[in-house]
Amino acid sequence: MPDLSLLKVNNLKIEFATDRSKILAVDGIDISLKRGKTLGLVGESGCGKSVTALAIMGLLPRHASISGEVFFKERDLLKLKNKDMAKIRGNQISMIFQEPMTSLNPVFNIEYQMAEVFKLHRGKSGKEVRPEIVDLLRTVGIPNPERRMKDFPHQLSGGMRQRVMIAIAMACEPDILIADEPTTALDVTIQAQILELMNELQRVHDTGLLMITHDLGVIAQVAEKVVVMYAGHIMEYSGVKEIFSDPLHPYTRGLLKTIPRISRKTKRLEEIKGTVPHMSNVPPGCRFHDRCSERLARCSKETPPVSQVNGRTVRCWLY
Amino acid sequence: MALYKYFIKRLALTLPTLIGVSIIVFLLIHMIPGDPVDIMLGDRVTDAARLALEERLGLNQPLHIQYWNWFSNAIRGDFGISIRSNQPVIEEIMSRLPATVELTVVALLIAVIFGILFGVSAARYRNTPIDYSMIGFSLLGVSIPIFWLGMMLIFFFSVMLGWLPVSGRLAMGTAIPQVTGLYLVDALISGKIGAFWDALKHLALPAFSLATVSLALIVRVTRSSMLDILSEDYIRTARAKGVHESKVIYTHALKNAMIPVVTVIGLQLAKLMGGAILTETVFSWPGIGRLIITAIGVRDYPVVQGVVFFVAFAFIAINIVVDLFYAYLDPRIRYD
Repeated sequence: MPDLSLLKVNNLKIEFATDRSKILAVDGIDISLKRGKTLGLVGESGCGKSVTALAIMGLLPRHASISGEVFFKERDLLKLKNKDMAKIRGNQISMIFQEPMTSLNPVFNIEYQMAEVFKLHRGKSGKEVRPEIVDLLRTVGIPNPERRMKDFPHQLSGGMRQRVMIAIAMACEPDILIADEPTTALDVTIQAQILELMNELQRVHDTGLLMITHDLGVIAQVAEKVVVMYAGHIMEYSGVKEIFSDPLHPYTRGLLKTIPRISRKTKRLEEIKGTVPHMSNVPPGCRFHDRCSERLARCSKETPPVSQVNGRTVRCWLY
Repeated sequence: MALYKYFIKRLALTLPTLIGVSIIVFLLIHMIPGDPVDIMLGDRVTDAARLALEERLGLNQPLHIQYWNWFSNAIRGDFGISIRSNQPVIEEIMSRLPATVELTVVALLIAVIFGILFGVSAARYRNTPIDYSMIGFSLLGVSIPIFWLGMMLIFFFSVMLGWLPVSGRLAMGTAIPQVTGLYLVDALISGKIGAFWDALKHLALPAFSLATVSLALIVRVTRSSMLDILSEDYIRTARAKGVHESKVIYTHALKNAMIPVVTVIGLQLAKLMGGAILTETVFSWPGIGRLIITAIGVRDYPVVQGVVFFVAFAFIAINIVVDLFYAYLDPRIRYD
């Protein structure tokens, strides 16, 4: 069967060298994304989700060393020159970020910041693209776009700014959109609108979406497949239905339990005890063992291999 | 529109500042020990002659009357008559001003162009040899005494190599028709390329030594400001859009990083307009700095007052320009 993946990440490792130590932030992950589909990437803060996204975009700082393969349309992005990668960024692969309040440049107006993408990737001039900018702003739900595009970022609300960010990301109708916690900083009603908008744009343009979040509620709404990451490892990788109905990994179960339910009366919200280990000090054996409720004797000594259970991927000694 | 209103508001605020400055300048100068009458007449004169001179200079009046007389004339551009030369103070200032302006502008151009360029490179190549050499260079720049640097430059380039003249603004026998008093400009207007070249050669060493401190300051401020800005989210956004790295640096980052840099440039410009006293002395440059030094030496009150007031005025004017620049750079200031 031919591989229809738009994006295929093989054995990606990302290491940061600091003065004192080396930190392995991402330790050999494999993911793939198909056109028009959504892959969710979940985990707590510090699991290596954002670093993975930035590595795909080629936006990691210079002191990061990256190995493995990131295939996009049969080209390994990790082997591309800066110049060639810049042609892909914002054009075929684009990204939106968690912080809409600070992600737009305060000293340029919206029109300038949007026109830039067209100039870079379509070679069009400022005047030519004005109608396209207006259209795009209208599509993402900005009222009165002819006037609003003259505004500066500080004149827009957080939700509006994230809409502008989405407009910029979608301007060149990218093959892949990477969304790093796009709704985390927004309130719930705006969050729903933004997710709705992203779904709509994805459907229209057949975009592959890599949705990074710590919020399983968001995953349930948008994703077809889910990768659960913990401390730089993939713990579980399967379809979204299976994740919610039959989670394999104790970490996944833990994450699901933390979602508050109206139907269930509890005094305290559920939590997973402990915190994500710092990546300079990863525990031996399974990285989750010290927080795991189903720990076995071997968990603290041997790292579990990746195994296949009914076509699903899981990294745990229980299987 | 918004920028225009901002300008008016800013302009209205300068008047009280100017009055306050004039009072302080006036009082400070009268607090300096030493009597101009003694200096002008010596100590072997009759009391009658002393009184007559005091009367003529208005020094026998109460202080507030003296101030009022001076201020009401000053706002009409009349700063009185120099005690030493008997020339109107305004003429003394105006005859020196072009030399100072020419030196200042050239020095500041050097400082701004290279300062920003070096500062940006230091930030861009942080913690590399490029960065370290920029930091080292700017540390040297602020540490070297300017008169020592001036003398070393003269020694090396003028005395040893003989490439550049030792002092003055023009070689003997070179003439430039006076239009603006800025020799570079006048020489170009009259099409005298030889004279232009000569004026430039005279300007090179003083301008370079004057530029050193400002250049070093601009490098430091630009570097630290750029480092702050380069870690901002919108810089990552610009890169994610596929903007080329040099455009990320020189457009997206630099415009944001310029605000503290513009502040420093403004302060330096105002400071240099007051005459670079040390540089002008070392290179015998006939500017404002040397005028005030001579005037202080002989208690030439009208000249000292006039120059200090003029410098304060320059500070205020330059500050307005700097504020306008802020508003141009940062829309958040403009729309407040």
